[in-house]
Amino acid sequence: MPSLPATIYDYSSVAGLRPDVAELFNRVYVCDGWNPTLVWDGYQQQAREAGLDRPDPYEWSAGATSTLPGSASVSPGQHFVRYRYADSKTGYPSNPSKAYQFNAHEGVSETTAGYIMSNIVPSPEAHVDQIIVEMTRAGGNQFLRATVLANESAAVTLKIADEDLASRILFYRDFGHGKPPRARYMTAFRERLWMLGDLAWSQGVAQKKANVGAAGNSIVGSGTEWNSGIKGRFFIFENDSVLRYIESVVSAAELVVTETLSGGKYGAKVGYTIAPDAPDVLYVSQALFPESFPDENRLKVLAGRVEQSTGLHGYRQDMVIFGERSMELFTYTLDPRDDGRRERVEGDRGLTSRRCTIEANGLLYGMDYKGAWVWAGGVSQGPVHLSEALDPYFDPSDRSQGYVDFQYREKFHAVHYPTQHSILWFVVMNGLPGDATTYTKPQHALLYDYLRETWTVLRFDVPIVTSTTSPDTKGRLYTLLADEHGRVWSYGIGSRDGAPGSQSRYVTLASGTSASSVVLSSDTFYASNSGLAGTPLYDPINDQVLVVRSNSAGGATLLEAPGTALSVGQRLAVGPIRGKWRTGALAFARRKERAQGRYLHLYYDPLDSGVAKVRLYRDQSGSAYQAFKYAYSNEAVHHSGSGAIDYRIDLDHYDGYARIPLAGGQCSTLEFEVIFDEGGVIPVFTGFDLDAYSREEDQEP
Amino acid sequence: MPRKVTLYSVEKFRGLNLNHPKSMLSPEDLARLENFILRRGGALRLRPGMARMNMETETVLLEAASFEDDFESYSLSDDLDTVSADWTDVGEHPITVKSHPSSGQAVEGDFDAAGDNRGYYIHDSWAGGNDQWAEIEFTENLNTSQAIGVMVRMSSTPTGYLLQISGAAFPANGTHGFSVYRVDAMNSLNAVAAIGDPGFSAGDRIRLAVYGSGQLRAYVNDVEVWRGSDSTYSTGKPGIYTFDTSSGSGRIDDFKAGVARADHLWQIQSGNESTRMFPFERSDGTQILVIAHGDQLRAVRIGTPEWTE
Repeated sequence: MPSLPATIYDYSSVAGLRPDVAELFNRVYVCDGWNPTLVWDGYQQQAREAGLDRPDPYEWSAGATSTLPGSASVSPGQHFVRYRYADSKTGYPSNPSKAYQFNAHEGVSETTAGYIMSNIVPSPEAHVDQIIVEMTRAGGNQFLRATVLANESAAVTLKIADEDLASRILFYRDFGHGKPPRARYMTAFRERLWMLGDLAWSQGVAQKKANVGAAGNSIVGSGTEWNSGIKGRFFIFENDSVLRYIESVVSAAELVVTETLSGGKYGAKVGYTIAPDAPDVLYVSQALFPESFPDENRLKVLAGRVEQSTGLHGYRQDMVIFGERSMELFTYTLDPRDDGRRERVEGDRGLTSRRCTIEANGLLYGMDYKGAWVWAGGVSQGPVHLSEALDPYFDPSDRSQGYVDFQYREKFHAVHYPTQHSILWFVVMNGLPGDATTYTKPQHALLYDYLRETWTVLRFDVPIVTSTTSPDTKGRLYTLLADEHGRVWSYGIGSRDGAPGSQSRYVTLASGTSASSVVLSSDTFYASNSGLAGTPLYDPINDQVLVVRSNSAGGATLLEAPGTALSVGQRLAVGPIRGKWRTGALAFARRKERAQGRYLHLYYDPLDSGVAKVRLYRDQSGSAYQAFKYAYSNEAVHHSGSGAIDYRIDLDHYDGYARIPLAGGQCSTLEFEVIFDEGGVIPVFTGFDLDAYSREEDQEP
Repeated sequence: MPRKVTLYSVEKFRGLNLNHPKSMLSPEDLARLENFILRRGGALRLRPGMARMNMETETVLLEAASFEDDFESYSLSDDLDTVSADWTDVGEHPITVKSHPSSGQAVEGDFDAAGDNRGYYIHDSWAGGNDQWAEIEFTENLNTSQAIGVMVRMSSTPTGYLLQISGAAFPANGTHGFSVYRVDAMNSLNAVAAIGDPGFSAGDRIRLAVYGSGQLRAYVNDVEVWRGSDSTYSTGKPGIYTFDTSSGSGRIDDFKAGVARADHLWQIQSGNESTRMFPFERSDGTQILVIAHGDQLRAVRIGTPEWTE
């Protein structure tokens, strides 16, 4: 099997960008809005810049006609000649050089005239291996392929007659390849590459270059990391109101603008912004030539909208263009340039960020500032709001129950979990009741089961920063999640996060445990392959999560020291999935009954092991109530007596039933909460009942 | 007398509707629903876990050098181990500090005796573990029967792995150019691979890395030129090697050593966050996952979960 390099491109210094990726014709394309668009074929050691540069200089010293030995000759008359580069592996040609005219028999013998084409400049690009020389017939204007040279050739003598030239037609348009645009988003659709979105750049600080005169045009910077791709964009200092057109880029820290910089305010380094000359432009490649973007294949989208483009998605036969609060549909039959049409989709739904759309079950799902939506296509029927149950999380006027924190929206992403017909939107959530952590990376997922139309919130003990679905070699599809430390996990396997079933549920700490490592007593860690590296360990005593950096069977090094020191003899849960569910306020019907609330009946599937905790809250109190009389419970329920808030439920009780007494505590309403924080098993709760009196009975005279 | 029933069938509550799987849960309920998923029949089921996804990788990650020695601060003509506690002489002949016209100071095995004359120096203060890389700059071309090299997992016996550049016709078996050897004793060099001549010249840097169960990687000027494996030695330190070099040829400079790691992707690396994963099928059918990771684009072969239940 051909080898596979691990690092196929290293940007080295430009950090914080979020590349987008697309695949077409077994090649991967990558863009990020700032660096050149890259292409990788899966074999090369390095991804390379996509596209081909045209011959440089464009105007070259063409050559001359002369008398040459032999019988073949260029046909008499006026001809044009030019050349271009080509990559024979892909068949992609570059744009041509300037064409020059010559008179084939001017001053030379009619039978031995040739044309010496000199000063050809070979391409410096490694993937270019051919120079295609093109020539017209006498008096003609259609270029034909005169000859093909190796990419090191600097000259050639053309002696081809028109009758031989006639059949050598070009299998590409006059326009060949330049460099693809630098856009933030890309996707492959209907055998074309589509690109959209812009990046405003403001990294580092800049000032007018010293010693270039009172009205200089050069700007120098620190930490700016400018590149040639910003030529043509606009530059503006943060303390200025003048847009300056970038004429050229000298280096990563120097550029030249067209408008002069005069006055003292440009003498100190300040912040700046480089903005695109035309934002929100959709670029479409030529069909079958994904690296060729003709100038006419571009279209301004979201015109007149006060919003940025946030993504694009090929859906059914159309391209969907997303803004933050709107959508446009680009439809075409044969060619986007010839018969393309852009229409606005009804409604005011858009897309939060690039990776928040998922196509599943034949429908397109997405998320914007109002929540999740689903869409079946077409412009007359916009997306349908899907997440009414989650509306409070998206309501800026009420953050009491927690909220989706949109300042981190670029980090949001969505993934399909087809096995359980679900879509997971990974978001940053803050302000959740009982959770004082301020999250900056996605650790929560809003899960939607599109078959049952139900919602759930998932929480992970490690940030999940990106996701995808991917097939394996046996045709199965996995849902892959990547954590913040570069590990990739397969979601939907086992009963713990990051640990196999053979791993004991708890481990007990022994002497030698420190702030950076833990030592086990008689328990062992899973240590095969990479062991438990990346696995969360939960400390139930101090309610803190630790992450394993590396481990052996007898101990582990921690990624970070715990906030509260660990102690010898305490237990840690290995990779537990800590879950809880809590009811709303369940109202008792009559005052008399408030003193007579009897039992909470809880039903579950019996397991081999495991314990859940139940807490009771009366009258919508935020604190668990501990003064119900503990009597007449069944044997599945354990309570340590007065003052204890937790009722411990044996999940291995043979009949899957727990009865918790509610006697002795008056209340108008009751909420209860079920907590599971052990891992190692998957508890299933099938229902609950409360003993009381029916409302129907209440209404009887 | 009111009739006692199991009455609060949940339709009458504002709470969770466990009996009606298609109902929307109320927002206040959802705020209290975490990691439990409403399943068929109204059951609440804890979400499943996640297992490590095994990916096939072939590349070692080299951390930044944790030790560097440019030999500039030492007295000329002194043996390296006498002027630096970092080095220990474990060979037949000393390696000596010399001046160099372009690089300042360098070292060479300063002898020209007949027979095997090997200089092995171990970087004895190395504390970076057994997965390591070592690099030297090759400052002067070699004459026939001369060689220089860099070593990893080196012991004081000496044993270890050697990446060697030799002059023509060296060693006696005819192998020459650029080779990897397993050193089993002072004069026992067993070829692991003859790489050929990648076209060295003065100023080039050669590097050997080893990790795991003996995965070896050779580099010239940061570009990997060979990969292979030998599991004989699992421990040791970086070092340098000379054979029969003499004044004016075969000097080496700018020794560096650092930690090598099995694969960046599977290591805990704060600050290196993945921002995009993209599955991709190569034209030979290989399924690859391209990952934007930190400021790098990575590629791994898609494998299977390490465990199932």
